Amino acid sequence: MRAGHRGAGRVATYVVLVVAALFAVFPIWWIVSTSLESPARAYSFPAALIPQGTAANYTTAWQEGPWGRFLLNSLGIGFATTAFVLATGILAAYAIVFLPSRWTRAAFPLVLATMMVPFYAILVPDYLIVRDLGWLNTYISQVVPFAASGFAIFLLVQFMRGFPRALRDAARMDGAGELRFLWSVVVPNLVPALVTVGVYTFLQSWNAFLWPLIVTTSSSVQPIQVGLANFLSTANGTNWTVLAAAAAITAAPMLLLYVLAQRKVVESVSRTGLKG
Amino acid sequence: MSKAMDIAGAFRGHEARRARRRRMGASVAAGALSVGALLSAGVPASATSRSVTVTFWNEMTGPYGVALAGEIRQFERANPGITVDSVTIPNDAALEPKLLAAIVGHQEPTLSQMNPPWGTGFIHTGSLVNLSPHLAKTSSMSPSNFYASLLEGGRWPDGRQYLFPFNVTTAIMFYNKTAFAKAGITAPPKTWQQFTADAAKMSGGSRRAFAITLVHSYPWLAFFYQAGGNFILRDGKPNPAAFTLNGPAGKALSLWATMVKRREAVLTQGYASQTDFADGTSSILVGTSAFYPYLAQAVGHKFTIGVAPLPNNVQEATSIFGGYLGMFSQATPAQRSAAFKFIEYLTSVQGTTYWANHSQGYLPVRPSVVKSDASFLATHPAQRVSLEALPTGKNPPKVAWWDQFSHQVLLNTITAVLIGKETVAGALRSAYHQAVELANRNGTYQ
Repeated sequence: MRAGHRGAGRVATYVVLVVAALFAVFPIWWIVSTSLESPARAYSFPAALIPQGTAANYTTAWQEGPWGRFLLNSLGIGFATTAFVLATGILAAYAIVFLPSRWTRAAFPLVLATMMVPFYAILVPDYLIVRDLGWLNTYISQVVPFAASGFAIFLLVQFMRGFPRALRDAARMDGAGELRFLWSVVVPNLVPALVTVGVYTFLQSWNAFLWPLIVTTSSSVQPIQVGLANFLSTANGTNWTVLAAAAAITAAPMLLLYVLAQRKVVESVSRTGLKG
Repeated sequence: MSKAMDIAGAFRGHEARRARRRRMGASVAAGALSVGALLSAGVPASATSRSVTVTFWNEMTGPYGVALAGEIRQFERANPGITVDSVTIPNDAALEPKLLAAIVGHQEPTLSQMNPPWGTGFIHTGSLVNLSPHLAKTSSMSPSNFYASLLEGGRWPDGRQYLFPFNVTTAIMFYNKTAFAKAGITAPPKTWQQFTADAAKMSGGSRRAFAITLVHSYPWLAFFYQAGGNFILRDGKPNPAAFTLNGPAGKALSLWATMVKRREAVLTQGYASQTDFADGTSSILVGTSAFYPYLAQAVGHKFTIGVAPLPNNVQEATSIFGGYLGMFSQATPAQRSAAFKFIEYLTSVQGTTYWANHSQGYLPVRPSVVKSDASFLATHPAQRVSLEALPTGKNPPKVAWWDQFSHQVLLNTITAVLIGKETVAGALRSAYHQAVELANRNGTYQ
């Protein structure tokens, strides 16, 4: 009887998981399916779930923009921003947690305050600074303004606060200085939080649109989202099949990255207790 | 002591991983160096060896981008000393803040496409060049050579021509000829009464005859103008009579709201109305001639697309919609001269004919194109209907409060009524108060 209950419970679990998986996969399937359709078939009701199989939309999308350049730009900007955010975040959080002084105590609320200022409020001042530095239409203007993140510092501070105090004392006894302790003890134990911050920062950078649009004019330095916007919404309509092909091209690297880093991402989310 | 031993053990345990991490660190450092090289390569991209470069910001994506590239190639061939650096920005929502930031930072392009309502603010900051003196010096640019209503869209009440028409068109109606024939309707509706009666015949089940697009306010404004509407008083302030329940806005809003309520019309998001039209779930679409290339591709051979002027109420009217060319005062004299040459080319008989033919949707700005090319009207049905409607076209007002009013207040008001969140009277009362507030804050003609 109990075995029967267990069996039914397992079936119910699988049913729920399959339904959830379908919900998760359907939008991706829809994009891929639309990207392989002719326009007339894509605009039919009810829609065909199995695509016709034309690659013409990919050819058109690929010809309408320097996608390779956009992809490289986004990857470069994303990785550089992530590297800077991790470096500044680790150092700032370490100072706040392990080197307490009236300055670091005063700095932490200021760091939190940066998370509460809407980006739109600082758009123009940031633009003027970037212009004065001569960084308009460069990669630097898309990386440096985001090289330190209040969210990253906050998360790493919370994580570091959980470290036992004795850990540092013991490291000191073994002759480790601040940098040695940071690099050899703190950072290795911080990996789940660093992965979370890294994934979050990279996605933020990957999805950035308004700032790159404002500070750049040339496709040679623009990220993929700005290139994609040229398909998404124009003054007169949207070519959905080509847009779907462009969306598939832009989503592919992120999906690939997720597949490769899946274990670490899941582990980091479960250890930090963060979702989404 | 045992804690210290544990920690020491933990340190030793880290050794192997540290060696691995060192290798990873080297890879990261190499990656960072590559990124650094990438960053240092970020030089401004508009370097050119030509003598004058005209930077031109525009929204010409897709088929329109291809047509513009053709125009630029021809212009550069005819003017070897001038290079046009075309920068494509996807839409109004992206171009307007980019222009605003550029003006604040004195980084304006030489020339930009823009909607006339933006111009008042740009003129106020001294950012736009008055084109009238240039036009007076050039016989080919005489006002009599252009459609008067299109020129009027770029002329301010003081008579100065700050903007020149480029990618402009008017609101028209697309209809599914096959669905009309099936419903026994032999001709497109000419009045609001016929419009609602025809829509009722073609609605039912999951079908709603009229798919409403509210990406911009111009489709609804066309109905408002047909009801005799005018939102602006002579002094540039909001006209209270336009906002009453029995006034033009009340009539136009009630017409759409009633159709939605009777399930004869459906409010769509973005350009989903084009999808509804193309897949046959709706049969009537209000848009501009520039919708045509998208619709033709999406419909394919499923049915025949009909094009007609909008049905009328107390008067024949439609909205003029589209982009104008504005020159920025930051440009050097050489750039201004080159930019004016480019405007002259784009709006010349050759330039505007090429544009009207290749952009597949926008109107030629000179009547002489239609006169000299008889086949144009026969082969471009949407542009033909748009041109026929042009004499009754109304330009967007140029008061400084209009842009925010039409994009936010008006669209929110129409949406709130159509989804049943507010009554027509209540929504219009609120819209009037917001219009007054905007006029007080942003000014009128300044």
